[in-house]
Formats: sequence, C-alpha cells, structure tokens
Amino acid sequence: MALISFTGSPHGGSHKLLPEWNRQPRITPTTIIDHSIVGSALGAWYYFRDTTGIESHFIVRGARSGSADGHIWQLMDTGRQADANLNANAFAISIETEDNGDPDDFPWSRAQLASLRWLHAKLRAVHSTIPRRRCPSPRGGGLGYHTMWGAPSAWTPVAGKLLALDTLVPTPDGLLALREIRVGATVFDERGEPCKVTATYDDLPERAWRIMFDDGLEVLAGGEHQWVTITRGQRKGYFRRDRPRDRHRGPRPDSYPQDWARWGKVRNTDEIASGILASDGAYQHTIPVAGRLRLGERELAVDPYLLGVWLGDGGERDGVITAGFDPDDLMASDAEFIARQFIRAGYELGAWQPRYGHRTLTLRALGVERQLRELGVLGNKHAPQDYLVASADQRLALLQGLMDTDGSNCSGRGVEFTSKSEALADAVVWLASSLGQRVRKSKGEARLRGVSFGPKYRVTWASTVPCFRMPRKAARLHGLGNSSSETLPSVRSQSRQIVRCEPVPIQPMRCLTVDSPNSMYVITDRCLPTHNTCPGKPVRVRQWEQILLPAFLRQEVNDLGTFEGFSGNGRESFEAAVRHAVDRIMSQGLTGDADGAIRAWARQLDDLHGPASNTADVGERVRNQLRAGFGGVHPGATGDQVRPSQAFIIATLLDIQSKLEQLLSQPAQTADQSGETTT
Amino acid sequence: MDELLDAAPTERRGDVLPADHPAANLAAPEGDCIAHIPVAVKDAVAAVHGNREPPDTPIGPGELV
Repeated sequence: MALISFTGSPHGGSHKLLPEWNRQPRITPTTIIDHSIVGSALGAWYYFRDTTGIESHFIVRGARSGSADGHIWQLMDTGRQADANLNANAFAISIETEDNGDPDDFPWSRAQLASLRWLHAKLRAVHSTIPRRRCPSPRGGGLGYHTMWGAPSAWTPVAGKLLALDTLVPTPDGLLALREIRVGATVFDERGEPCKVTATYDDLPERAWRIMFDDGLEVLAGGEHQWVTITRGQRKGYFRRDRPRDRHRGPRPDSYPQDWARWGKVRNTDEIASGILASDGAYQHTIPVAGRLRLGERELAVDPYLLGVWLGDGGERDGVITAGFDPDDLMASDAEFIARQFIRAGYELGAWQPRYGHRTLTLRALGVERQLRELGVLGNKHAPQDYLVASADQRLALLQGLMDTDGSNCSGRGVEFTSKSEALADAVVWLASSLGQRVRKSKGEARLRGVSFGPKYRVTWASTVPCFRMPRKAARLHGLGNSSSETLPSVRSQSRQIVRCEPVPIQPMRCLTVDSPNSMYVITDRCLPTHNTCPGKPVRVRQWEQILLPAFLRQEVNDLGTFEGFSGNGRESFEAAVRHAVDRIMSQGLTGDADGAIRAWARQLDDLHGPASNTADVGERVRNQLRAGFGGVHPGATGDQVRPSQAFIIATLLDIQSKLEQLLSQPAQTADQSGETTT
Repeated sequence: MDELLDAAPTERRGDVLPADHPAANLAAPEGDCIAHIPVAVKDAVAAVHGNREPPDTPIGPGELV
C-alpha cells in the first residue's frame, strides 16, 4: 500500500480516497504523469467518485481554491491503477491539477508548482522504480505530462486543434495531405524555414468552418484551430505615416515586418468567424504571405529555365521550341534570347526553321529531346516533382521559363500566366507561392476568332520577384532593379484577408505541433501560414518544461533541502524543517554539489516566500546582522526574536552553508570512512 | 486496514446524483481523462453536492509512507 505522508509538503495534503482506491489492479509505477483538470478540483473529485470509470491518484488544488491553493489530495493508492492515462494506466501515477477551465492560458500557481515539485520528489522517494528522467517514450519511465505525445495519443484520447485531413502541406518532398504527415516530418514555418513536426492530433471538432480569403483560397478548419492574424487597426497603425507624429517613424514601409508572427495575435477560427469585418466595414483579419521556402538545391537533368520554356512553348511530343522572331531586329527577338540560354546551358543548337511567314522560329537543342523523354514529360507536359521542390533559385528559373513563354506583364502592376493546361497553371501557383507571392487562379474559356478551344487557366499576381528573364518582359516589371519607375506591389498584395467564414458539416480533422520559433507552419499550395496546436504553447507545458522537469532531474541535489517536517504554517514548523535538513546534511554527507544544493533549496524557499534569498549576494556584514537580529537555528536565538522572514531564511541558509563548508573541508576523511567520494 | 476501508467513501455512480441528472450516466470512455469531460458537467456534478469539500479519509500515521 502506498498512501503518502504529507508531512513536509509545502501546502499540506490530505487523503480523500475514492471508493476504488484499493480495489483497482495492482501496478508497479514507473511513470508520473501531470494533468490539468480543465475545471475545478471539487468537480473532478465528485466526477471520479460518482461517475466511476476514470480516476486519478492525486489532485493538486489551484488558485480558484483560495487558501487551499497548492493543497494535495490523494485519491488512490499509488500501487493501484488509476484510469486516466489511456495506455499508460498500467504503469503511471497520475496527478490532476486544478485550473480555471483553460489550461492553455491559465498557469499553475506558485503554490501548485511548489506542491508538484514536492510531490514528484516524494513519489520518486517512495517508488524507486520511477527513474529520474524525462519520460522517453509512451511506454513510460520518468516524468511526463499528459499530452506530451500528442492528442490523441497513447496517453490521451483528447483532441487538439484541427484542419481538414486533405489539406495540403508543403514538405521537402512536395505537397502532402495532412493525413500523411507523421511525427518527425519536415514542414516549413512562416519564414519559409524548415521545421519538424513533433506531434499530430486527430479528432472530430465541435465546429468546422470554411475560411475564405480574398485571393480565392479556401481552407476547412475546426473552430479551435489557431491562426496568427493582424487586425485592421494594427495594419493602419503600422503603415500610416501621414500624421505629424508619424514623422519620426520614417517612410511608409513597403512590406510587413519580418517578425509579423510575433506582432500578430493568435486567434482561433471561432473568434475570427465572429468578427470578419472591422468597425469601419473593412476586413478585420490579415495574414501576411510566407517567405520563400528554403529547399535544397537539386541535380536537375535539364536546366530549369529551359524546361520552363519547353513546357510553355515546346512541342508536345518533341524537343522543338517555337519562339517569336523579328527578321528586322534579330538580336531583340525572343528566339534569339532563348537560343542564347540554350547555348549558355551547354547545348548545341540544331537547324532553325522559320514558320508562319517568318514571324516565328522553331528551335531544337541537340540532346534535349532524350532528356525530356527520360524526365517523363514528352507527351505528358508537366513540371516534374524534383523541379517543384528544388532550391529557390532553381524554382525561380523554372518560373521564369514558364513566364517568358506563356506569361505576360499585363497591367504594369501585375503579371499573368495563361495556359490551357491546368497542371502547368497549378505548377505556377506553387512556384510563385513558394517564392512568397500571393497568387490568384481563375478558369475561363479559350476562344480564338469566336471559336472555343476549351478551358484556360489564368494565374495572376503582383510580383515581388523577377519572374521574367526575357529582357522585353523583365523591363516592364516594376521596381526590380530595372529602369522602371513603377513602385513595388502594394502591401495588400503581400497578404491575404479573410473575407468570409461559413460553417460546414464537421468531419475528421488533424493538426500538428511543430518546433518552429513562432509555432507556425504553412499549409496548402499557396503556403498559407497557420499556427500549430497544443502542446507546443500552453502555459502549463512551458512551466512543466522550464520548472517541474528541471526540478525533478535535480532531485538528487534537492533531496538535501526537502522540507521534511515543515507543514507550511508557523516559525516553529519551519525551524524544525531547517533543523531536519541540517541534520540530514551533517549525518549523510553530500551526494551532489554543495553550493548547488543550497541554491536549489533557496529556490524552493523562493517559491514559498517570494524572491530574494540569493546567498551569493549576502555579505559578511549582513550575515552578522542577520545572526544578531534573527536567531533561526542559532543556539543563542530566542523565539521572540525570530520571524519567518526573508532575512531569517537567508540567515538560516548561511548557517547551513557554513556547516557545509566545514563538512567539505574534510573530503578525504569522509571518503575514507564511506568508501565513496562525497562531492 | 478494515477501518480504512470502512472510512473510505462507498457511494457509487447513481447513488448520489439524481438519475435524470445530465452527468449521472455519463460514463467516460475507458482510460479517458477528466480533461475530456466538459467543464459544465464537472461543475454540475460538484453543484449537486453543494460544492462542499469531500471529507477526509482518516488514516493512521503508521499506514503512511
């Protein structure tokens, strides 16, 4: 049986056993799993009791319990199974913690943290089968938190925040459906940098929405799926420069800041759907475009620019390219430029054939046809996958080849690609989007002299990259190092606005957790930035990783300073705890770093009494004053002079430290006696 | 040990909650966790019991570790 003694726990504890506290199957605990109730301790306890089927070994009360904050309830024998951890029930001790119903944003209180640290140490002391480590796998062994393997996962059936399973996600291997993404896969963050998927989540959301953007992009997302958006007010505040008070801020920026993800705010789909329009009638939420995706350079059989040219104006079943030709100005013709590109890429050219009354020429580069056949594009025009996931320069070259042949600079501010091939149009959508462009794709009817030739596809965007290489087209592209007086594309064309959210029937969905700095990743072939889901960001997960886990791993040192005998009320109890700790130190010697032990203990005291007990900053004069004014554990002190204050705590620590120094001054003797080193 | 058993709560599901209470028959899935149960249900369960703190189970010091 393992009902623990709460003597020494910083905020006390009591036993409120469930009916099945000792009737569940026996277990050998190897794992401690911290949970958050999503509700009150009272509600959880009565639910466990009245609606049996699930249990937890402990509940640590929280701030909503007022003066009972940090108080621990034990509900189950720790040698018996509590069903709160799905597949981990047979080896895990579960600790529920009270929250306000929102564990993502409501942190553990200082009292809860102190009690959790104490309880972790206590459980490891009681159950030597629990190793001192972060739990390395869902099979257990160490300290963990409930959703550390995702949600749902081996430890929980609870769902995360979700996107439709067929949502495409850019990866180094191309676009994959969300359902195909596994833990460990590489995706891209909003800056275009690669990041790793650390968890996946599947479930049915309570609500599902179709989010529509002003570029025609549509995404299905759960109500709790998160986005980082910039509001209309933020946009106006950032870009406005026409007021006198804006003068010191410099000229109007021509793009969103690089760190827009930190500038924006995380909002879920429900929030966005409830306020599409700002008070002035404009669209409220904007998501800037992602940066160009950083993909590795590939070895490509055919120069990507030349492949793009062939895809645009090449023969379907041969390597012949048809290009414009002006017999009066040979050097300025498209055919001349393309021929030079072939020669520069190392090809020899075959015979030129004038066609259509010398208005065009057909070009043939020797060896290209064989390479195209090997690529599998002859008779099946498309951009091969290797080219779509090549480096940014290679992708830009392919885009330039396509745009130099089937593209145009239509209005001075925008560019356009038109093709009867939807596959090529989709390739341009991806190439431009992966280079940080916001594109639109539309479908129309191809007509020539009143005769329909079937559907055609247009891809348009305001380009911020040199998407043409051919001089006559590149010269018309604004502001990109040429002599054009045009300005760069508008800020609006570098972002998407959410124009509508409409409810859709719920369906199975999935979301990811990624390790990118801003917890974001991009989705769809348009590279739309979205926020990942828990457990990456919830405040209690951060607390677990930054406070509870390090404390658990330091337990060997902390054992020296455990508050055995301290109930948390009154000076006498505190003194007793200090005496106990000193006795342990003096009698057992040290198994870790002495100074570290003192500091670790000081940190525990900080949690209980507030910051400032930094022994390193206390000088000898202060130390003497403290000793004179506060007796603490000093034999000469009288009870009336002692207050459980910061000064008293510091004096106590100093006293212990001096005893440690005495102990450490005789390491050889101690080692000889014990047969082990003591530091 | 017998004393301990006697002191432990013995009510089971349905013994306390009214049969028509929305939470009375809401059994959680096998191995589920309390986080999966809606806050409103948990609050309703506590409210049925007057939001009173459950009684301590008396345990002798010798039984503790």
